[in-house]
Amino acid sequence: VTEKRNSRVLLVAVVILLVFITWSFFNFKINDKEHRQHIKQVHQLDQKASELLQNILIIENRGAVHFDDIKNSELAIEELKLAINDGCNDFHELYEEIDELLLNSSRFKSIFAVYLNSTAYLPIVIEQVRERLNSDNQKKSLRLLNDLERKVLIYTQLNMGDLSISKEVIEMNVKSLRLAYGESPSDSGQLFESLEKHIEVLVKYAGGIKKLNVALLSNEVSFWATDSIEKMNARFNEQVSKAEAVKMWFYIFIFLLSYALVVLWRMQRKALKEFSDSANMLEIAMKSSKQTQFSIDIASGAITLGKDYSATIKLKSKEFILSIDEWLANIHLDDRDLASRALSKSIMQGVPFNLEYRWKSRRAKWLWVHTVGERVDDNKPAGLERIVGISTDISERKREEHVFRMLTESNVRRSGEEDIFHLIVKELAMSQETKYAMLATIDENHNVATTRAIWTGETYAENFSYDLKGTPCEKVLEDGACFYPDNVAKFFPKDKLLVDMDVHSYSGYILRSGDNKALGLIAVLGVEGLENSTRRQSLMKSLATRVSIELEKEEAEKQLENLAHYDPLTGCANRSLLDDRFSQAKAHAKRTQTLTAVCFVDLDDFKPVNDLYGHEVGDRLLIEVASRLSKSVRGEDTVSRLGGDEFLLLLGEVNSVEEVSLSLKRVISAISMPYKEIDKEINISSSIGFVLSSAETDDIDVLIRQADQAMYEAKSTGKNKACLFNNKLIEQESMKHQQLESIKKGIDREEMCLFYQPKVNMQTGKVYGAEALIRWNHPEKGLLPPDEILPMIENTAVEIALGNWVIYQAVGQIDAWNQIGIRLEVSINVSSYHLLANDFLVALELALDQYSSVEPSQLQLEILESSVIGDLEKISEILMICREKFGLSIALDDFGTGYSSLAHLRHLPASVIKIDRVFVKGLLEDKGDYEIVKGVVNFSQAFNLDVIAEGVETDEQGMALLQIGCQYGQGYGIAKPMPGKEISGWLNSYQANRKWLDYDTGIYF
Amino acid sequence: MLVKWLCVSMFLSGSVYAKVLSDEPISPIPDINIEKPELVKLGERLFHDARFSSDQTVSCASCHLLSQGGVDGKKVSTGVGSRQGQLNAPTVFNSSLNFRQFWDGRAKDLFEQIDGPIHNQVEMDFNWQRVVRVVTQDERYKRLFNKSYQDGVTIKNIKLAIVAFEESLLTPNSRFDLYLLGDENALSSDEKQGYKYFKKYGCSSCHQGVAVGANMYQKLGVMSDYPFSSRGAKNSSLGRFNITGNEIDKYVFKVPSLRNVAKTAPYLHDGSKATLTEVVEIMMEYQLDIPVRDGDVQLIVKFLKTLTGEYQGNPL
Repeated sequence: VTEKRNSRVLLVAVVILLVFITWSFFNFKINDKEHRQHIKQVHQLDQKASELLQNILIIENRGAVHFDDIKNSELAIEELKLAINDGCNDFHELYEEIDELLLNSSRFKSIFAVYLNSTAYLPIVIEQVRERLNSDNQKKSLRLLNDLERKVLIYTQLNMGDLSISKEVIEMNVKSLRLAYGESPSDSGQLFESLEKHIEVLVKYAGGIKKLNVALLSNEVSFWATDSIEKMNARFNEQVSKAEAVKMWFYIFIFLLSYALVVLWRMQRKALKEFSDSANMLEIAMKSSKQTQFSIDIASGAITLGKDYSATIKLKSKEFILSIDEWLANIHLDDRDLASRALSKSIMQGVPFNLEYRWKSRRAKWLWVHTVGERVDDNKPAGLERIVGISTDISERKREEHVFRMLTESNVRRSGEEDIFHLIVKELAMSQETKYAMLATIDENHNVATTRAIWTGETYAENFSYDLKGTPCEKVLEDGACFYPDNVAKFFPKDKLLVDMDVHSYSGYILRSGDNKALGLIAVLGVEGLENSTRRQSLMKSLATRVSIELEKEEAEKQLENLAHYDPLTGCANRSLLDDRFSQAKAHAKRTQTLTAVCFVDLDDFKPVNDLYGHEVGDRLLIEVASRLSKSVRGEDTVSRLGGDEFLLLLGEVNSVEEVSLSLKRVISAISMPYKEIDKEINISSSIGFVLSSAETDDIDVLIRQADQAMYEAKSTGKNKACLFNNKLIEQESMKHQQLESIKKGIDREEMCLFYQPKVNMQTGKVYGAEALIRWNHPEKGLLPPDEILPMIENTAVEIALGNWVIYQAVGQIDAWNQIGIRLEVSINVSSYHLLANDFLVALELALDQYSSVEPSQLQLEILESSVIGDLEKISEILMICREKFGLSIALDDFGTGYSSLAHLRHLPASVIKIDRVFVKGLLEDKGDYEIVKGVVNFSQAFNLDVIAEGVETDEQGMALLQIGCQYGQGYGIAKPMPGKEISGWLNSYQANRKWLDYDTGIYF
Repeated sequence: MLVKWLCVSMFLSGSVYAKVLSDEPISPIPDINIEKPELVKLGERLFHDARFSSDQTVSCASCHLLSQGGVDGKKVSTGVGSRQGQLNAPTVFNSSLNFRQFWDGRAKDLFEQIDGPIHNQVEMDFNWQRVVRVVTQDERYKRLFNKSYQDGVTIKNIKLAIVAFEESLLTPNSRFDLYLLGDENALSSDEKQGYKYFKKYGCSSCHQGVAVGANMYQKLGVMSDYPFSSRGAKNSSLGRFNITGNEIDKYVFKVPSLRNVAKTAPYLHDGSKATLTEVVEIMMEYQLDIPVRDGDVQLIVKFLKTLTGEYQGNPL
């Protein structure tokens, strides 16, 4: 292909070159006419320039009294100048020179006219002055005038003059004359002024003419004209030589091209001759190998066959004579017409014949025969004409041809019984005329062979595997090929199969891969004897090569497919296979009216395993997890690994969420079983998020994302469980995230502050404490209550940070009050998450240490009863430390709203119970609330705990509480929460509620 | 060299050199030789066509009336929209003899000159594309052009036709020309005397040749500064200076032809002098600085009137 392309490129290049050179050849025409014309014009220009100069000189010398000649010369020069313009730079200097010449000529005319007039008039005016002086007898002035006249005349004569006389000298003379003349009384001065002016003009213009003369006479038009002509000639010569060169190259190229063509032609001829020679030789060689002769007596119509012929067509006798009709009768019906026509043509017209036809042998088998024949009648008397020819048995070749044709025509491998392996064994058997042919591949250890295709004469047999030991196939694999023309079973007595199949002959050939690895074998097995044939050997070799290639291709495709669809580490489906499977599952679900579950499995704390035991163990763990996953789902479900420790399960034919939950429970417990096979210590759990495909989302990507989301939910709510995806999750999550961010900013900007709500003993009216309540002084929304802050930061690091800040602030406030003599018990709200934080106790201790005036008993921790859901023991333990070690008091907040208030009461070391405001609010209206409050008060008395009511808003509520036995209260009815610094002011103005003070509990009990 | 010596000796002796060595400074207008009469006809039609101006009121002939000596007799000409030009229109007669066209000589020849008035906003205020359009749309023009030119109507052909017509506007057979050609009786004695003064005072130094001028430039105000009505920068009185920008070219104009001068009043580039007497006196003062008797001026004027020639056999 490359050679072909190269030659094409070469051809194109030659054509382009030819076109280019031809174009250049015709393009490089020399315009010598134009060149000569230009030269002529430059010459004319030069001529006209000197003519102009000549005309000027004639004028100067008074040879003419008009400028028409000058004008005509000027116009002629301009015409020529315009005509010559050739766009080259050759005339640049010439043009400049011409322009200067024309300019000077023009000036000359103007100046000369004036000069002429002054020279004509000056003598007149001098004469008049002279007369005047004569009459006045001004001798001195006369002398001066004469002197001046002489000097002016000399100075103003062109081309001649005394160098001692200059413009200045004349001016001096004029001056002295004016002085002398001034004495003359009879002049008004006008005449002398006229004289002066004319002298001045004459001197000036004569000077101008002199200069112009120099300029005109020294013009270099001739020089530059010559120069321009030289340049033009040079350029022209250059063009000529260029054109010559082009012409030369054109001829050279044409010559080379012709020469190359001749050489090519001769080469071609030689090659053709050699080819036909060798073809002839080949023919001879071939003929000599398998030829059988025959002759036909035309007169009698008898065919005499040669010695070998009889053997070829499987005849018994050594010589055989048959009639033409008999011969024709044995020819295959499809070929008979052709043969009979060729023969008759040969007989009648002497046309040689060359035929391939099928001939029926005596064993009723069709042979392919190739016959060439020619009528020989030279030197033979009439009636003795014969046809002499050669016949060749080409059956084997034809069969091979058939095999190869089939192979090339069916190079697309199809599955089943029509794949290329089946085709090959069938064709192989046909071509070798054996009953069986087979193709088998072997296992890695060369112990077992498995047939890929086996032909049994009429049909293909079912593929099977067999032990290689003691079979001819083993021999094939050892030797590369083997051939048993007869009695093969005798050599391999252990091979039952040979006996069962009644195999007599065997010829096998090994299949080898490109790197010479044995892949299997092909073999023909005959129930009759098999002749040795080199043709068969080479055919089988060819087929073996083809089969090997196909097998290798198949293997490569299989590997490729694996690579494309399976995760190499765990063998799970990869993402692309997952997509396929999901499409199938989707279709299936549609058919069966079921759902598909997409489950995102993530191992909990997998990273530490990698870190602790290394990646190898990590990988082994992943493999094991994959295998457990596969085992714990149904066979038709898909286990896919997305990467890292993330797996994805596709569960099909799902009818309900519960069903999936159940399956996933199984999965979770399977994964959380100890991994003893890797290391005793390794235990790992998993979190699963799942989602069911539905009408609105059947996009796998979306589903995976949602399952991922749900998995996250599972992780954040305790791990080792499965969570169903819920649409609200996303919104909440993003909302929460935004709020969290803004709260974080608020803390950073110190917008948080603590308000304090006083707590009083309603019975005595004494203010004994205050509850610290968080407020957010929001720059836009104003003061925000805790509800706007705490739910958003629940279970986040912000919650801990804010909690620590509250501790610090509150303790600081207690200290500040202590300093001004106000002693109050301050309670702060602590979440269980904060409580469980590592640094909770540390923060507490730090705060108390810093403010040494603060008695620990002044600080109370309020634990939200309903928030205590986590590790009750741990919380209890920490609270215990707070109480016992630090000496703080513990209050249970919002008591009664949680699920197991009493249990908590038992476990938590609380000393105070706070009755939630909802009960206080309904105290007077709702019987149930009343009973609850009453109950709480009762049992707290039983447990020896203090009780305080929140949300006391009215006097009546307070009285009712007092009636029940709750002394302490806080709420709007007493005081609203206020900034710490306002407390002292409030205390000053505080007046105890008279109604409460006056209330005597005793009366009602 | 011999000639020079002779010349110098003549000069020294104070005699008049012209008689001895040369012919007359003025030569007669040669006979007109019209090669392509139909082209001249076409040019004449174009010359008189007012459609080549923006308001279709001005033709070449508007300012160059053939019946009025080839000029319009006004100080300055009136173009489209009655706009006033800056200069006195020179005669179109014998204009082909001019070595340059326009007062400041900015056009090389008539062919180039035509571009001036066509485009000038105070003259015809037109352009060639429009001229071609007008001509092409006129079937008669088209026929005439196709008759005279192979390539029909083109800008160049239009201009060539006008030039051919203008070249036909020569005025031979003036009485002075007849005198030059040997008819002693063609001039009166006064006129002959006037011619003599014309030469003696030096008029013929500039006004010479076949056109009696028009073959050179000269400054107005050679001997003393001419009192131009306006002397500011870049006005038409600056003459060639406006073209070359050379200080030396200030107030320099093309020396006008004096052929038919009696018919081309008013005079000077700005048309400021109404009579020949006035303009001759000015020449005497500023160009020659020669005190001249009134009688001499009148004689020169008489001579100038003999320069009026004939067009198509009729005196102008």
